[in-house]
Amino acid sequence: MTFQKNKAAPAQKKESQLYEIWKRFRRSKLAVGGLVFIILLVLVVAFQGVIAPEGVNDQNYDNMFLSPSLRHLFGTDQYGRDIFSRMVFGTKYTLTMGVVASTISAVIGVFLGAITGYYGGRMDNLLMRVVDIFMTLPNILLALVMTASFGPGFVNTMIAVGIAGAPAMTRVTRAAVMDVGSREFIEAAVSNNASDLRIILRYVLPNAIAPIIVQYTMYVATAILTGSSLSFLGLGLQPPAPEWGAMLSAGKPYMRDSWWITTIPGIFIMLVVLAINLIGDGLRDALDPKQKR
Amino acid sequence: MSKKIETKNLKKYFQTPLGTLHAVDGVSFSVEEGQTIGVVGESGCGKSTLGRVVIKLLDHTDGEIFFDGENITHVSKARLRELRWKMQMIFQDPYASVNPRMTVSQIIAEPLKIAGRLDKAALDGRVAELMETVGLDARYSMTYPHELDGGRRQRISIARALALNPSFIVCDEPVSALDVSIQAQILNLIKDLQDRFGTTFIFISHNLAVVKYISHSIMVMYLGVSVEQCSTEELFKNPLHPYTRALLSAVPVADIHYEKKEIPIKGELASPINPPEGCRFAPRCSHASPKCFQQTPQSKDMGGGHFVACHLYT
Repeated sequence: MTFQKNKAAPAQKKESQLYEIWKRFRRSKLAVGGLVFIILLVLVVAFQGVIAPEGVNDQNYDNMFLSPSLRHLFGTDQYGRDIFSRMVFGTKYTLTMGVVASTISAVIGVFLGAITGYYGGRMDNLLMRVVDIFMTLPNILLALVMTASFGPGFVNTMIAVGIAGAPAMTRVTRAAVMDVGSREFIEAAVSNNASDLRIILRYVLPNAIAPIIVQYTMYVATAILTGSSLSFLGLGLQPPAPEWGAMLSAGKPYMRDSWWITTIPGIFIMLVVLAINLIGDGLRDALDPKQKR
Repeated sequence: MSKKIETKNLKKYFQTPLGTLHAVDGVSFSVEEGQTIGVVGESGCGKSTLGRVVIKLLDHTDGEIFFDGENITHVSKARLRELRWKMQMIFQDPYASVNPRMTVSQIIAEPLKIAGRLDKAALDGRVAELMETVGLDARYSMTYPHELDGGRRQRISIARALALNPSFIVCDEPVSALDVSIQAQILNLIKDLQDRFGTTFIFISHNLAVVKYISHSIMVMYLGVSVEQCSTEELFKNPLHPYTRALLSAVPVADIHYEKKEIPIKGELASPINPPEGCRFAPRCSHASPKCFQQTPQSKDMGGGHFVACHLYT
């Protein structure tokens, strides 16, 4: 009868909301695993100079296309550069791209989605038609047009990818907000004179957070891939920079003989995306007090 | 005693794609201070809408509302804010009427925080006091609503409504979602609160037994209109409107020798969208005459404040 132990815990002692969420998050091993992986990558970024055995662009034409070994953990590429070192230096671009672009899309999307979903009416109609138009265009095309007009570069790419993700985020938020907005506790809040801002922040968004977090974490993955694609097209990071997507693209011609040039960045992009999705799932459950057992 | 709340010919129409929905169509009633008026009627007769219009959660279409003698039909936003401290609502579904992301104490503290009248320590004290008033054990203060049963959730809702000492509360079917055993507890709680604080209630329900137990007077609604209004005692002793009689005949009696004479109500509730002229109940009424289909009956005082809207008595 182990479950009785938990039940008997008195609800009196006050714990901060954040600690409660952390306690619930901790329960999911996968989510914690994802978090550990991302923290490891952040540490790699912090100590990149110490970890990387070679410089990021040290070319060595005697060592081209070496397969993974103890000397070159992930092998070398077509210019004889150590892929492990390049992966280490590239980590910061991938992480920044995914997180910053998703955050930009979330800030714009949640703001617009909450306003349109809560108030409805003519503005909602108008804005949703604009969103419809944007949704018909593929993300990559949207981002492409924007980077082309802002000019290439890492920051511009992040902004472009972020804006490209905003329409989908608006949609998801709006639907969730509309669902929550019709419940009785919103009416109760109105009858208690809660301001619209308070209702949206304290009542609507906390109850609409699950789909928003899922969309956010999914978009981290998309943003990393889109950013990498833009790098490949010459609009994101310029070639010598060790961005993972650019490395993957650059290795394509040699895939038959030297699989590690494309596979290693591919695996790591996948792992980052997976880790962030796991964290997202865990966070979604942790933010829901019903998960407390 | 003074009239706490009074409406005159109150109307609420909704525009729907099919036409104008007459949810509340000319309802006049009043409640004395410290009393309870029960509003009964079947689903869709506009009783919930009436409750929401009276406390101005919904805008009215026509008519007048008086609160403590003050005409609150059209009030400024600032005045409405003040009025809302005095008028509260207890909702039907205890599973939907509390924010699932807040703890019990947070939910009860919300109105106090928004009003901003108390500092932190006084706030905690007031929340504890409210929980005690509604019979919620203090150990539930840090729990979330989903961990509690329907009755306890409804107590949260009541504590929240009481937080700012309102003088008037609309109860929108507060017990219909609860088990019968818990219904009695909540009804007794509401009665106790009235005795202690002198609160005036509008008690909306489709359950005649519940309304009989708690109300001083009763209004029977049918399709947005009030068909009969009088004191509770009078209604059960001397029902006049054919609809009221049919409703009362349907109430089960706990006596095995009682010979049940049920008066059947034929057909379905008519659509409230663009209703025709005439008595709303006429298509289902066993006493209907041609006049009932042509002329809308007016509410008439049959003596002693017993109002009925039926051509049988004109």
